[in-house]
Amino acid sequence: MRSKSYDVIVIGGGVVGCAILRELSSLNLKVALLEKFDDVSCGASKANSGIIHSGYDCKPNTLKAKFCVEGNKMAQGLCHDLEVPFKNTGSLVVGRSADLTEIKRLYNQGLENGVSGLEIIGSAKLRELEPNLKTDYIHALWAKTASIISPYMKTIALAESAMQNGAKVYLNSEVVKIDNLGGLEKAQGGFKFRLHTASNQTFYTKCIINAAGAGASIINELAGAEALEQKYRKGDYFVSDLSEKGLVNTIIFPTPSPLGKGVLVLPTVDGNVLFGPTAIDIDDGFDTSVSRDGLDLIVASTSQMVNNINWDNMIRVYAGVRFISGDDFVIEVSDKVGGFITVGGICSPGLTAAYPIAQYVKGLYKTHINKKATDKANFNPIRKRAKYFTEMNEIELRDRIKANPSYAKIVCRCETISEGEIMDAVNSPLKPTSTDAIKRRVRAGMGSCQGAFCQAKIMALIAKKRKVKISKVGKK
Amino acid sequence: MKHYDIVVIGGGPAGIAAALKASGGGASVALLERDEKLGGTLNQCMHFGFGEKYFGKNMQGTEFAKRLIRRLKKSNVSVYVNTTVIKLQKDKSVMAVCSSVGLLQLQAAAIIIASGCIEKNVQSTSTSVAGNRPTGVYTAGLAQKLLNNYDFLVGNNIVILGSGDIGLTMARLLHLRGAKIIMVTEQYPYCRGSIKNKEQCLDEYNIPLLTSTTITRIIGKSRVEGVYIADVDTGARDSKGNKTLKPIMASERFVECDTVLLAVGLTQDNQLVQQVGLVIDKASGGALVDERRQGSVEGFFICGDGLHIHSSVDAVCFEAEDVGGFAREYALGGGGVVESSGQGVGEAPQINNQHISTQPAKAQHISVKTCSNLAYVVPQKITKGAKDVYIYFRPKTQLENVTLTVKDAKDNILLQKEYDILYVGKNYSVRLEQELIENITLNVEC
Ligand SMILES: Cc1cc2nc3c(=O)[nH]c(=O)nc-3n(C[C@H](O)[C@H](O)[C@H](O)COP(=O)(O)OP(=O)(O)OC[C@H]3O[C@@H](n4cnc5c(N)ncnc54)[C@H](O)[C@@H]3O)c2cc1C
Repeated sequence: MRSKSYDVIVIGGGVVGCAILRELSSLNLKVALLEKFDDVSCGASKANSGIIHSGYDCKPNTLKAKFCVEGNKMAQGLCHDLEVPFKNTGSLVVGRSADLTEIKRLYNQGLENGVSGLEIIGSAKLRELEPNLKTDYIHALWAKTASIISPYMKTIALAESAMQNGAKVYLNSEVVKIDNLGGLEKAQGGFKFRLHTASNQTFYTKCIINAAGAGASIINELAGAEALEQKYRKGDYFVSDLSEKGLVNTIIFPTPSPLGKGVLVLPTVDGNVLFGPTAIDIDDGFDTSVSRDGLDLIVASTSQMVNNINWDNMIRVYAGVRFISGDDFVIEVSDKVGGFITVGGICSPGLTAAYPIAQYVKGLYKTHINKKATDKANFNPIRKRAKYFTEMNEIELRDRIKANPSYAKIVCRCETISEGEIMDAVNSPLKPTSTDAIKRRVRAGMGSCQGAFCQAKIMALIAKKRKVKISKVGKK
Repeated sequence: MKHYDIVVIGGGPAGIAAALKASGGGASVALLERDEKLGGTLNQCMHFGFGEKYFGKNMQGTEFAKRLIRRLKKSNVSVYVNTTVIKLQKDKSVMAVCSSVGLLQLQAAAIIIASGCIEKNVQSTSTSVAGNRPTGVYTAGLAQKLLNNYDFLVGNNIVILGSGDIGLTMARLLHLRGAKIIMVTEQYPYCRGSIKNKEQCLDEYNIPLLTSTTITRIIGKSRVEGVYIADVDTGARDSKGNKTLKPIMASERFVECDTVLLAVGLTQDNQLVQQVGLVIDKASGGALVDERRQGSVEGFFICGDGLHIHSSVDAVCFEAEDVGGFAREYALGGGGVVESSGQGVGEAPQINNQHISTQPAKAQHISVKTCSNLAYVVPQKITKGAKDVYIYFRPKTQLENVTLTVKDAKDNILLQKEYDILYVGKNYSVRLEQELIENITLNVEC
């Protein structure tokens, strides 16, 4: 029974795991990814700020600094190749008079890290950029290269791109046991590991890359590799209705204090305004419940920074969990267990750094694990998705509807998403099965009413396609 | 590009009633509906309580819709279903996607927006619910739709947040279909729905209502496992004097359940109103209108729950009929007298339009102001010279033994009316007969 055997198995379908899978799919290898949840991007990669950081914030000479600056430079091109929403907004670290010293320190740190487009600005420019900023903020570090993206669309796109290049993705496949076949691998056809999932599947592989995020410590333990210590810190958020669009134009950070980075106000690529995150230490890395204290803190602190916030126009709250292992990312080939790479402690700026991390991991694999791996001649870096209704011009719309009238049947009224687009998502490579998964692909249910209007119809469309009862279609 | 005198957007009861009225007297009317079926929200309302005043008979919402649609079929209104407006402009050009023709482009002389309402959710800070969002959290309307239109009962052990009429009706419906309604929680110290509904939907089946109580957190990873509820500090007010309704966290307690229903109210769908750039009244949350329900751009009329949330579909239809008449009058440009539906609807009668003539080139307006006890008034302005205008209002909180006073700018009392009780979940109206010369103010004193 070697039907499910691979040269490399990546554990964890976050932005990091999916980026690694895509990089490996450019080699002549059999590669797969195992993800615990029903979709990729269900961990930290869906619940973050969506910022492509510029890199002034990272301690110099760390992997974080190196990969953040590199990731920022690559972001626009990558998003273009993968058709992922991207917007260069720039970011501001805003300060009152006493904060100028810290702002200057960040500026110099940025220069040391090789960040371009940094400028310290005064009140006049600041007002011009952010008219709603409170007037006691008079200094700022303006990082022009900072941008925003849709984090889950990036993760999904990376996974789809990898699949298009031959990689396999197994969802609902939580790894619960790893047998190390070390020593016996000759008899096992070279396979060093046997993996068992909670869904009772078995996989054989020659190499494991652990990108399991909050679950990474457990995976290292299961494999008998070096202990990976991770601490967990939750971040809560509010998301505004689209009607608040324009409240802020850039990503606004308060000046960091010894207590932390502070709570931000920023736009999303879709036009909402985001308020968060908090930083609350927790024990369970999979606990994404929103805390009430966190919400209160967001209101109190951002109201001191920005005028005209309309708290009655929030449409959603969510929380994401950071996993932190010391000061830097932990990306290492195991000494204890042959054929095992740890990619742990990928906290912020992990979303920005994911792509350089993946290239680095590919390099580690080629130098330490499989020197013979060769490049695929026909690797295709371009991933296309069906154009959204709202992106089409009149002629495209007319033609699309003529070819398939379901593109004129609007299901999600808040975001103007048609039945045709929802079916595109239902039929997309990862075959999403929940309403949240559809939302992450085409935004249906992401608007003011949060699916109150369209969810029944979307559930019915999924149920019909999967030939199950509507009661079997969940939110997650 | 097709031309119509009037294009009505939205095929719910407001849109149908408005289109029917507008199409009289030789005007050409198109009605556009996003869904494949006309009827709007009524299509998911299998319960009774509709039509007493409009059709003279208590019937199911679905039956009410059927009757309206039958009338529409007999009229010469052009109906487009599976049609969604994607671009509405000030010059009254309409672009829509339509499954049968692709792109539909229309030019109208008057537009009626009857786009209905959407369910509120619970994220705004005063009512935000923390915790998780697993499967098993539904808004009340969604649960109703899933049950009535898709035959799917959303859960077995249900906690309902919100005691408005929708929350109460859903408690009964789900109970009768075999679910256990563990409780209905209400952050205010009183039931927000009508007393009659409370008796018929909760008391009758021994479903507990916990007032001054809210859900603070929802617990559960993939499916709801329970909620935390807490007492609400109903006395606390913010700097502006508004109630904060903060939960008292020390009183937090766990209630096991598999489903949470959010029934926290409705709000206008303002998408098109905003697209055209019509002024929105912050207080009502809908378009700012004059007594004909004409918005800040001439020739754009708004009616139904898309303008403000009505207490009954009967009230919606009476109002919409009048608006249909006004729009026709505007579109045809003549001074032809529009006949009123002439039916009163108790606390929410139609606007009587007999004495309003065609709008002069530059109409002057009287603005209607209100006090802090009222959530909003509609209309927010009245054309000078207009008589017999109904002003709708809704109290901010439940008010008992109050006097409503309408004053002009010089503090002359124009009208006084006493109320034993004003419910938050309802809107009320007063009729102003006299011709008004200056601004007026609505005051409610306890
Ligand atoms: C609040 C917050 C804000 C942030 N803001 C930013 C930002 O603005 N910019 C930025 O660059 N970075 C930001 N970050 C960091 C960024 O989100 C993360 O670094 C990044 O998403 C990590 O990706 P990942 O793939 O390592 O982890 P995840 O996305 O968590 O992926 C790990 C995956 O592994 C799966 N898994 C776990 N255990 C198992 C198992 N046993 N078997 C199979 N699968 C398993 C999980 O289900 C999960 O899908 C933020 C993080 C947080 C929490």
